[in-house]
Amino acid sequence: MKTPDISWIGLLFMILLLAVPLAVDYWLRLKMAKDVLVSVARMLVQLALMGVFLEYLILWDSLALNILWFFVMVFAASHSAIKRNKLSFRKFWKPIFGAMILAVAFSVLYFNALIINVKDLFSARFFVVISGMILGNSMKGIIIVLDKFYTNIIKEKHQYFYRLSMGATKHEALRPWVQQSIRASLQPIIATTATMGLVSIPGMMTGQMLGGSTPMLAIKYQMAIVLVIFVAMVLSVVLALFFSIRVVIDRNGIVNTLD
Amino acid sequence: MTIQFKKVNKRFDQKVIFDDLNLLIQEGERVLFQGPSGMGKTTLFNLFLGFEKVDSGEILFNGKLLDYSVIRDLRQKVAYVPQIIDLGQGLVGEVIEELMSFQANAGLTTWQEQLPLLLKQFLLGLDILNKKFPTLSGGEKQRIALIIAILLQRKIFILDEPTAALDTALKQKVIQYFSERKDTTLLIISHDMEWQQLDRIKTLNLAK
Repeated sequence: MKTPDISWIGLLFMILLLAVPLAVDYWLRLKMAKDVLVSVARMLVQLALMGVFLEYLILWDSLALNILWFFVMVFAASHSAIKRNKLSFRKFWKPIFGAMILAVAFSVLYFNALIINVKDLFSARFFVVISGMILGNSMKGIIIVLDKFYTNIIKEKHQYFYRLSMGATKHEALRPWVQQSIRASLQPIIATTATMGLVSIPGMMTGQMLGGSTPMLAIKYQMAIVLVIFVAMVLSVVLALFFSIRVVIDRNGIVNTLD
Repeated sequence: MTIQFKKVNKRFDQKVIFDDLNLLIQEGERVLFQGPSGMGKTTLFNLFLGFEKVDSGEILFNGKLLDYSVIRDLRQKVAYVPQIIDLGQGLVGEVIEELMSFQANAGLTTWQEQLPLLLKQFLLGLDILNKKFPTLSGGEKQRIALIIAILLQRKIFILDEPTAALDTALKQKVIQYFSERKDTTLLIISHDMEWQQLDRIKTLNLAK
């Protein structure tokens, strides 16, 4: 069994679906037509480009290129995690980029080597594709952890300074905010993990079954990917937070997220 | 022990807070800082505790320039009661226990016995330990912060408006306590005139 192709006519029908949201928009005067069209257009262009890139990455399957692509993806993800929090890119990019590289590389290589046991750990079909899947989730975790941590510690600086004034080490003084922000960043994925398979069929499984895999095989992959994504997120969040603390908070405990 | 400010300059944006401030505090001195709000009294404490940096000039602790290791040493020698007291969300008893568990406080072995006595001395019941810190009144927060400062068994007290939320009788109790602690150096910011009863106290007005 192979995945049935989508023909040009099929693609046309796909675009035609947009008539539904546009009709709703017109009928209820939501004034969202422009937003809808822009976001759909972005999605189409971005995925088309991604499709072209992946096509060639898989075709050439060059080690150097796969690794370069991995670095570019991680850099883009770090960039958007920092920008979303309106933090200083100059100050934060090294810790965030470093954290993501370590966390995602560890997780994807673990998956390739020990779980699915492929021969070529860096082959595009596995390395590039799986790391892409992991990366999005790690980025979401990092966005939450940085936001919670730096917003709250600045807002609650009286409590933080009080702890420092007692002679607390930097990490003793920071403990409440480290705990709060890591908890907050992991809560969403813990909640989704608990409801997995309860109502919806996860995207990766759906894809594999459309591609002809048996449900049991698809489920094994799904279970593995959920755990790998979770571990990558834990590592990303913890490393990103501690690496950034080293750069942003000086030895006297003064927090400076700017310049 | 000495604390020295030498030609310290500090400004926020355009506002000059300190212009060549010189100050020398010797061991065992009791200094009451006065002056209208906005004259930099709290900033003085923040500079000394290393929470803010001077624009120019020097701050010396025991003759040593405040660098990383001196600030760390200093923070293990002072007991600070801030003007805005925020000890987090937890129960008072848990908060105190956590603060006492810091490495710097590892030598404190008798605080659990002292705590109930101090609570009693400052007219607080033991039940306060099971209340959430944010639910306390201003006066209760102030007394808890003072009690923690005392539990630390340190020789330098840095008190920023420590009695502002207390009634007259309680103010007297606090001042009474410190008048008996002749072994300590006291740096106090307060608008309460009662502090002037303390013998040997030196009043410093930061207004120019």
